[in-house]
Amino acid sequence: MAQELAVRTRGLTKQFDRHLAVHDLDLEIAAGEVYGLIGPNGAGKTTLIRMLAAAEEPTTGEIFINGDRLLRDHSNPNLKQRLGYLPDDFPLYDDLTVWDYLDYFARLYRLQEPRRTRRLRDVLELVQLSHKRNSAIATLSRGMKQRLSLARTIIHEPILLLLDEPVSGLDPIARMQFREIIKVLREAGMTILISSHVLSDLAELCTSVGIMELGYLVESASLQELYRRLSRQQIVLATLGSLEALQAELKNHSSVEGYEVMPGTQQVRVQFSGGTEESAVLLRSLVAAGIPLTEFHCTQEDLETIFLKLGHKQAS
Amino acid sequence: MKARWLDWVGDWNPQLFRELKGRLTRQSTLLVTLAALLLQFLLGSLVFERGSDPVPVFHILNWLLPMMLFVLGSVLLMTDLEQEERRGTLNFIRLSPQTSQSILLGKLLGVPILVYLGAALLVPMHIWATLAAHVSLSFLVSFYGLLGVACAFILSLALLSAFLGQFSTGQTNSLGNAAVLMTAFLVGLGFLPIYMNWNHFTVWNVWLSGLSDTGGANDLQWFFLPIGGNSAIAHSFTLLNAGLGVYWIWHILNRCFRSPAGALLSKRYSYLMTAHIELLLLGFLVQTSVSFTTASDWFGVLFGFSLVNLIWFGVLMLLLSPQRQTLLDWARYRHSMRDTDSGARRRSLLSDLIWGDKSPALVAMWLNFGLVVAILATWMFVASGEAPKFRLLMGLLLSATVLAIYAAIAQLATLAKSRQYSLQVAVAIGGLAFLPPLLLVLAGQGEVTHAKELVLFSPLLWLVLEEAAPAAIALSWLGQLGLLGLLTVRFTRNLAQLGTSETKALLTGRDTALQPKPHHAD
Repeated sequence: MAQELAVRTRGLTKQFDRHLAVHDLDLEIAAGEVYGLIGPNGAGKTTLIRMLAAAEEPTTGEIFINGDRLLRDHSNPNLKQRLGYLPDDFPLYDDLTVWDYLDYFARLYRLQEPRRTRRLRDVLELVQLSHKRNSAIATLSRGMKQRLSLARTIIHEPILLLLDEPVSGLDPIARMQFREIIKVLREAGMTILISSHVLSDLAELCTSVGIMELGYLVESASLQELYRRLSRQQIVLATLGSLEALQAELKNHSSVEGYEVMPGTQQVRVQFSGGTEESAVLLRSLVAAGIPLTEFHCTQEDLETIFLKLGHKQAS
Repeated sequence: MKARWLDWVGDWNPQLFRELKGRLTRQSTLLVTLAALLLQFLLGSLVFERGSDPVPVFHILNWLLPMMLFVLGSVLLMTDLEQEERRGTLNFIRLSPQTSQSILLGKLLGVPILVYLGAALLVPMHIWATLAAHVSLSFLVSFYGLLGVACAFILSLALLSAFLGQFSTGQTNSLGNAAVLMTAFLVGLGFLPIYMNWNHFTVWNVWLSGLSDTGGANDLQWFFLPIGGNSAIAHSFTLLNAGLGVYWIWHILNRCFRSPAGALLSKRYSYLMTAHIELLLLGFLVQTSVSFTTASDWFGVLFGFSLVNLIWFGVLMLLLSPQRQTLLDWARYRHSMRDTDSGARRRSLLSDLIWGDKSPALVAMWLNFGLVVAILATWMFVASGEAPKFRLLMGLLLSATVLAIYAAIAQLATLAKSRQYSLQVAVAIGGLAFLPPLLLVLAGQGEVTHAKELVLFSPLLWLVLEEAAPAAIALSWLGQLGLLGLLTVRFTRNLAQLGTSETKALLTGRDTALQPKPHHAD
C-alpha cells in the first residue's frame, strides 16, 4: 500500500431480507482525510457507517481499519479503541452530569488517571462545555447535547471518527460551532467520515466526497477532483447600462456557452468553458466595448448543484 | 472520602460506577434510610404489642428481606434495561472494549443499589431478632449466603427476561411494562414461596424446627441422598444447583449482550441443561419413601414430567433458534458449499446441526428429546417392576415425537416474514396442544372412546395411553412420524429455497450495478 489507508472495504454488502442496503462496496479513505458521505435517504449511508463502527455485521465483504481486519464476532478490543461512532440520534443519560457522563465513558475505554482527568478537561474545552461540567444532562440544549455526544465519541482519542448526520436538526449557530470543532479534530490528524444532507457543511469541511445511491457508492473522489470534473466554471457579471448591449457582446465569444439574466437585477450568470486567460480576454473586450461593468467574478458550481446534476444523470 | 471510594469502584467496574453515580443521590439515599427506619419502628412496636415476643418479627424479616430484594430488584433491573434498549444507549456500551460480564455485573450490582441499601439497613434489626428469638447466629450466615446466591439467580434471570422480552415483543412500551409486572408477580408469588419453603423445610430445618412446626421433610431424599436429614448436604445441594443455574443464565446473558442475532444458547449447553433439569427432577422421585408400583402411578408421574418438559422445551426452542436473518445467512452459506465434496459436506452439515450456533435448531432439539427419553426410560426399566414397560416406553416416544412436531412448526414459523412470528407460533402450538383435549371434553364428557387417537397427538396422551389399543398407539406414532417427516422436509426445502434466492438476490444485485465496477477476484 503506497498511502496509508484508514478505511478500506472490500465487496462490503448488507442485505436485509431481500433488500440490499449496501451493495458490493469498495471504499477507501486515506488517513487524515475528512470524507463526506452524501446521498438521499435510504441510500445506505447509515448502514455503511454502522458496519464500519462494528455495530452491524456485514452480510458479505471485509472491512479493514488501518490495515487490520474488523471482525464483529471476535470482540477485538484494540480495534474498538480506535473507533469513535456518533449515531444520528445521539442518545444520552439524563440522570448524569456532563462530567460524570464523560468520566463513565473514559473509564469504559480504560483511560487511567491522571490522563483521564486531563483528557476530560481538554475535550470539554474543545466542545465548549467546560462551564457546564456540573450540570445535569437533562438541562442542556440540543446543540450542547450534540456537542457532548461528540465529546463522548472522541474521549478515548479514536483515530477514526464516524459521524452520522451530525448537524441535522441543529440551528445555524450550533452548526457553525460543530463545524469549528470538526476542523480542530481534522487538524489534530483524525480521519473523519461524516454523512450529511447539508452539502454546504461538507463542502467546507471535507477533503473527499463519496456519493451513495441505492446502496452503491457511485462516486468517490477528492473534492478538487470532483469540482474539476463535474463543476462548470461560471462568471457573474453586472452592468449599469442596458442588458441587451451586454448580451450582444457576450454572443461574440466562443468560450461563452450560455447565459442567464438573474431576474430583477442587472446581473448575468455566464456558463464559461475557457480558462483564466480566456476570461481575461472577455473582460478586456467588454470594457473595450464600453459596457459599464460593476461586477466581474469567476465562481464554480457548488456541491449542491453537482450533486443534483449527478442525481439527474442517474434517473435518466 | 466518598469520591475516593467511588473512584476505586470506577476503576474496577465502570458500569457499576455509572449506576452508583446516577442513583446514589442525596435525596434518594435519605428517602431509603427514612423508609428503613420507619419500617424498623413499626416492627419494634409490633414486638411491644405482642408482649415482647420477637419471633413474629424474626419471621417477618426472614420473608421481607428476600421479597424486597427479589421483587424490587427484578423490577428495577428490567425497567432499566428496557429503557437503555429503547433509547439505544446500550449500543455504545456494546461498542466499548469492556467485557459483557463486567457490564452486566455492574448492572446487577448497581441498578438495585437503593434496594440493597434498604436491605442492609434492616440487617441490624434482623441480627437482634435472631438473638432475641434464641436462634444461633450461624443461621444468619446460612440465611445471607443463600440470599446472595438466590439474588444472583433471580436477578440474572430478570436481566435475561428483559433481553428476551425485547426479542419477542419488539420493544413495545406497554408490552414491556406488562412483562415487568408479570415478572414481579411470578417472582413474588412463585419463586419467593418456593425459595422460602424449600429452605425452611430442608436447609434451615436445624435452626427453625424449634420455632415452628417444620417437620415432614426430614426424610426428603434426592437419589437416596438425605437432603432433609443432613444440613451440610442440604446446603451443598441447594448452593450447587443454584450455582449451576446462575452459570447457565450467565452463559445465555453473555451471548444475548454480545450478538443478539444468533442463537441465545449454544447447542452444547442445551444438552447439559436438559440433563441437569431432568436429573434434578428425577432425583426427587428416587428415594426410599417414594415408590411407584401400579401402572397408573407411572402414567401419572410421566405425565407430570411431560408437562414440565413442555414448558422447558418451549423455552429451549426460543433460546436455541437463531433469528430469521441468521438462518437465511446460514442457508446461503450452505448453498455456496454445494460444490464441495459431498461426503465432507454431509459430515460438516451434521456437526453444524448438532453443535453450530447459526444452524437451525431442529436436530439439536431432537437430541434433547432423545436425552429425555433415554434418562426416563433407563429409570423406568430399572424401577418399574410390574408396570407395562413397553406401553410406557411408547408413551415416552410419543411425547418426544409430539414435541418434535411442535419444534418443527416453530422452526418453520421463524422463516415466515412476519415480525411477530413468536406470537403466531405460540397461538399455533397452543391450539395444537389443547385442541384435542378440548374436543375430547366437549364430545365425550370425560368418557373418551372415539377421540383417543386424537389425544395421542397431544402432550396429554398419558391420560388415554393406559387404555389405548396397541394398534392405535402404533398407528398414531407412525402418523406422528409421518407428520414430523413432512414438516422437516418442508422446512428443509423452504430454507434451501430461501438460501438459493438470497444468493441470487445478492448476485443479481451486484450485476445490475448502476455504474458497474470490476469484480475483485478474491
